[in-house]
Amino acid sequence: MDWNKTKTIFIVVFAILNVFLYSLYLSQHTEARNVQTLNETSIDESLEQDNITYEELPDYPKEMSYVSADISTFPKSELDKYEDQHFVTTDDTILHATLEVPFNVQNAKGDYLLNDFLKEYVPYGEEYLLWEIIEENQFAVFFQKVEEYPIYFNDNAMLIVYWDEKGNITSYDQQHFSEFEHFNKKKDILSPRDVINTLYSRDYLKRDSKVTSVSLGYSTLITLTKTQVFAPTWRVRVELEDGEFEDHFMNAVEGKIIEFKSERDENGEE
Amino acid sequence: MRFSVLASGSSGNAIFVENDEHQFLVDAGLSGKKLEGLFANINRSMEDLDGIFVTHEHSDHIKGLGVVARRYGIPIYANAKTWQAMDGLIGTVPSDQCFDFDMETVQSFGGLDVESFAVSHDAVDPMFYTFHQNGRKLAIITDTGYVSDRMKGIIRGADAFVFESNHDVGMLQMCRYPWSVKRRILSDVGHVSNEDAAVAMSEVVDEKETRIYLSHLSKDNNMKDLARMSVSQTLETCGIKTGEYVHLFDTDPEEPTKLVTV
Repeated sequence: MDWNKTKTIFIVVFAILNVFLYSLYLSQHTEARNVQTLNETSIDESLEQDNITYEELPDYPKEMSYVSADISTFPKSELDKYEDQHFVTTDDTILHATLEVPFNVQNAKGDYLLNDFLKEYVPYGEEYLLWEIIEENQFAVFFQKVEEYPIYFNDNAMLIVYWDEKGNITSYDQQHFSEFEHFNKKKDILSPRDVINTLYSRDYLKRDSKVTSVSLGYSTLITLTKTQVFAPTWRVRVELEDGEFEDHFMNAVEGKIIEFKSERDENGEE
Repeated sequence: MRFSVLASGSSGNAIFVENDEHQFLVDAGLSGKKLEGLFANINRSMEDLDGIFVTHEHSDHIKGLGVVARRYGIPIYANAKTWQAMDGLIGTVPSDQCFDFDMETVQSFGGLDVESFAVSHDAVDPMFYTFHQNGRKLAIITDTGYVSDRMKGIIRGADAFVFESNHDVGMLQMCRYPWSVKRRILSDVGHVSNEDAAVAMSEVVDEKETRIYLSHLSKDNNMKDLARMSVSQTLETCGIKTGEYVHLFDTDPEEPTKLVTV
């Protein structure tokens, strides 16, 4: 037997087999990618058909951790720093403050001066972010932040500032978290694109609407006896055909849609 | 008596227990190679094992059982129904290595008494073990949907607990598991949540130095920080402040806990 010939035949045969297997792998890989592209393309097409648009999507951290915090009490020593206010606390955790010298909520140009107010008059005021101003009812709602991210619709992280018909801030109600701790294990975050696709596929996005912003925050996942745990949460703001806006919230790790219900709603209060 | 939780979680479970005369393993739910690595981490060798106590036939408890038993000639102890259920799952084990360990009985190995007790889990006849030596006690209880008064009676007063703290109910409800799986986990034959575990712990710890190893944490529906926080706060509402005489410890799916003396 000619071993040299046999060896050459083996090498050639295996080389051909390798080329064949590699081409097979490549074609399957390309096919898989095509399927993925097709899925995204088909959602894009469907969005286009339903005239649902979105602007440039934001950059986002690919991983975030869950965060825990404790509900704060308001010690007298902290409140004593603020003059010209009368404080009443409920359960040591809910602060009702009444201003003895009213503060004008708007300047002469009509700009709201809420940030100045928070800075000067409200304990931990710089930790809050404006959520909305309800002009007709003369109050503004603020959410406490974890770093730059708001904690959405958590009664224990809210500040509500009230003013009178003359535009003078008269009082505020405040709750606050402290002792924030990031959990060690970081979790993968859904992309804004995934979030829009999920909302669309679950029929949350209406025809002829426009996604105006997609932003990250936190929402309460777990309530322990002393501590609450917050999960990263996407907020998707959508402008409807009639010009109204609606917000959708989604757990940014699990993709579950969150419908907020505040304690006020649960108690049947207005 | 010394022990180490070699690995804990749905990816595989194994707990090492020894005294000066004998070395045992409770479950062998990882591959032979991984188990060998874990033994090396605590400076022990599987060759010296005198037996493996099996809790139930789920793969995260018996994955490497047949392989290591055959390789090292280790005796296996399980109850009759579990033996039947393992038929075909662990390969052929020589009959002289197969031993019955009936439910709710005690077997003695030198100075070490091993007691089996029933738990509520969706396996054919699941049971866990307590280890007793010189008045000291180690209780191992995971994979149970709830902790009954009977179970509490058996594990009460242990000096160390390896205690299931599987999931947080809020996380489980939020997660992507199918509803059928969520229902199974939450059921009486599923797994114990952080809070339920803590309430049960509060009823079984005595006022003495006690180590509690939070075990079998769900990969998707729990986190070490959360389990510790949740158990600690629930214990506190039950009048037990951790750090005083009750001490909580993490376990890990891949890293063994320090070998400690009970």
